[in-house]
Amino acid sequence: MSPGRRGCAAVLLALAACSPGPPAGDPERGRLLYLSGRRPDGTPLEARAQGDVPVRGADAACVRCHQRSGMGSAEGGMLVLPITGPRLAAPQEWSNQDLMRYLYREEQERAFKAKLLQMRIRPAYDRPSLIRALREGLRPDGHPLDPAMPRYRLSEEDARDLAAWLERLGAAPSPGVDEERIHFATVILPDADPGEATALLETLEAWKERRNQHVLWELQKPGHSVRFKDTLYDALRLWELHVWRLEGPPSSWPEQLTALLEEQPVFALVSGLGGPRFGWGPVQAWCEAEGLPCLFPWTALPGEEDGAWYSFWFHEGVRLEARALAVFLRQRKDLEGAAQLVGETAEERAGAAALDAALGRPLPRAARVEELPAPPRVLVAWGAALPRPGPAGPERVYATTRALTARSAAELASLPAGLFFVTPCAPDPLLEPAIRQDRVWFRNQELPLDHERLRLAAYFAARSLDNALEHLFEDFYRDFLVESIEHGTEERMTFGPFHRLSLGRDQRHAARGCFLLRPDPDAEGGLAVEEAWTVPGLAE
Amino acid sequence: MRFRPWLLPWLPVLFVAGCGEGRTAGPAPGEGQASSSAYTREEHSYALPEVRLLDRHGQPFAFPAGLPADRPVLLQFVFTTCGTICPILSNTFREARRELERLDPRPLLVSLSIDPEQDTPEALRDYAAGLQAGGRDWVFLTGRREDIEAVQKAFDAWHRNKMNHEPLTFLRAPGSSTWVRLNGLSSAAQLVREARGLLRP
Repeated sequence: MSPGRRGCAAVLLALAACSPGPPAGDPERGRLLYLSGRRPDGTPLEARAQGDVPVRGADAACVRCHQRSGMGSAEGGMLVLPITGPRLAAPQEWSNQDLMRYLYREEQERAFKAKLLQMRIRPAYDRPSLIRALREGLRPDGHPLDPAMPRYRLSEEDARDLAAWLERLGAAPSPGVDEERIHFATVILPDADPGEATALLETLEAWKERRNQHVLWELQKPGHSVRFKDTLYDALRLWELHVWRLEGPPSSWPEQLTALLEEQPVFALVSGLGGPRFGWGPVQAWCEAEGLPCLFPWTALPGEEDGAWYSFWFHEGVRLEARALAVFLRQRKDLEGAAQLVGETAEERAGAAALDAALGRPLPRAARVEELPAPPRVLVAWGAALPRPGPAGPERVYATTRALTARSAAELASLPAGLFFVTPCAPDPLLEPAIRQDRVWFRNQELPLDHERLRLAAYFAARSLDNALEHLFEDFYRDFLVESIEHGTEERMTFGPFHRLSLGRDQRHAARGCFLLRPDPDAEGGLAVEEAWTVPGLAE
Repeated sequence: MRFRPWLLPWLPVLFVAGCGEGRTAGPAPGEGQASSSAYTREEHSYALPEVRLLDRHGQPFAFPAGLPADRPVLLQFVFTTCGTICPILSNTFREARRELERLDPRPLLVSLSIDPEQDTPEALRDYAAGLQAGGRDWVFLTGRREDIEAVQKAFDAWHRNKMNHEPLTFLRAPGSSTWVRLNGLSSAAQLVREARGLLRP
């Protein structure tokens, strides 16, 4: 935010607070209207868009288009303007950073770009003109707002409350960033595998080093280009990456995390690693309470807090694998004589419970094959250990990503027939040619490719964060970062160990299906596709 | 406004790019903001792929064979978590529906999800319920991602990032293979007028 805008916002806030005229409005009530399209008594906002199209409640809520950050959006060829307090309190004119964001950092139609440049400059709003805009759909200069902007039936009180919220929205940047540096942290849970933790941290550290070198090189170049770089340099920050290793039982994590955040405020959590024993739920709950984005930790047991907004996952982990397994077991007529091998970890128990729920009946389960009531024909193994199918054992064994990622390509290729992996990770041939680009980066950093899927995932998380930051420029709001991740994930050229990832508003799981893979000594990476990509919710 | 010398070379390109060819202009543009508040109208013949989609009840829907040849068809690409244009597109269908149902033959409305892995039949049922879209005259379709992409590409409506999709409505008259393509958002009354126009060429 420019100092000028910040000053305008401060003046507007001060005026709103001190004005002896009409009441200042209730920003909390305004926040509810903004986010839910409802008043505290539950009555919905009502409005008309495009002249005669009624919208109400959630469809009419400001957040639908202007987003939680108030930074607006550019979707569907339509530009929705930022409406944060500082932006409203200043004339709407495009800074070079705004233009770069909309013209060159997005895939937009050329007509959209032309319209953007033809836009009429809007004068600054003050409280009366803001109330008029909300109630009558007019800009400060009297021109009507776009027809897509709903025309609301708002009482004077509703409008005052909304205006009070808008004036506060985005008044200050989020913590964890200063004029030179932006801070991030990576959380390592106590049950994380040490080898995996090393691989993940090496990858993130290498990304940070490489990126910071590039930033320093850009900044130290004499004679910035007049074309655009000088306008972008203001937004460049050096990354600081902090490693937050948690200890002890999950009940103690929130306190540890709070202490770490107080010691070093960070803008977001990036990547991260959990093992099978605990799951990411407590970290997710803490991030929600703090309003701290958490981008793509590597875990098979993501949190499942209702309405959680700040955490992004690659997928639903064992819960997704369980639903996909239910489809595969039914399709392949492998339910008869099936049983589950379930250890004591939270991950294994969650997977087994999700499979029972998806099947609508419990399968026999035990921690060891010998403990099952009868020798199974088909075995689902939720842990990293792999019982071998064969004459002395089950005919077929279905394992998960946990068992897959614990083995090298050579080990996978040498596994016996009858063994299958249900996983959202794609086999190597399906990742071509993107995976080659990623591997080149690792080679250039002189990094090994052990734990390759994990390394690729961490690399993706870091690049996603970097791309989203490029979209923020100097509007360093955590909510805007979340919205930029939602918006831009589908535009990435590589997706780590996944064939494709996709997100959208309020979507938090980027992969929604699984492959069924089988060992194949002739296939690159040692795995071939047994059953094609299957999205459980779309299975007929 | 600050002078932006680096933009100068681009201005002619960008302004010319905004003028589509062979389009009929819709209503006058709204003031002030850069949105697609005016729509343009085009006519096209599209070679549509034959794919097996799913409706909101999880039942297979043969596309395009399942689109009735003897009734008008109105089709939009939407997705249930879209925040900006889809709520307006879908609510335009909803608002226009009362008038559209009086036409003879009655049109079929089709909302086809471009985010199929998120928009499972279950998600489409919730979305349709929010629009009070009961009955058989408004179908909601999803399917395998590659099939949906093939349909989008056939309609020249595909974007690598679904978040950048455009507001489009396609209309087909009974017995015709030509589609009227409305680029941009219309009002409900304008949509009804376009649908009536199909029956009174």
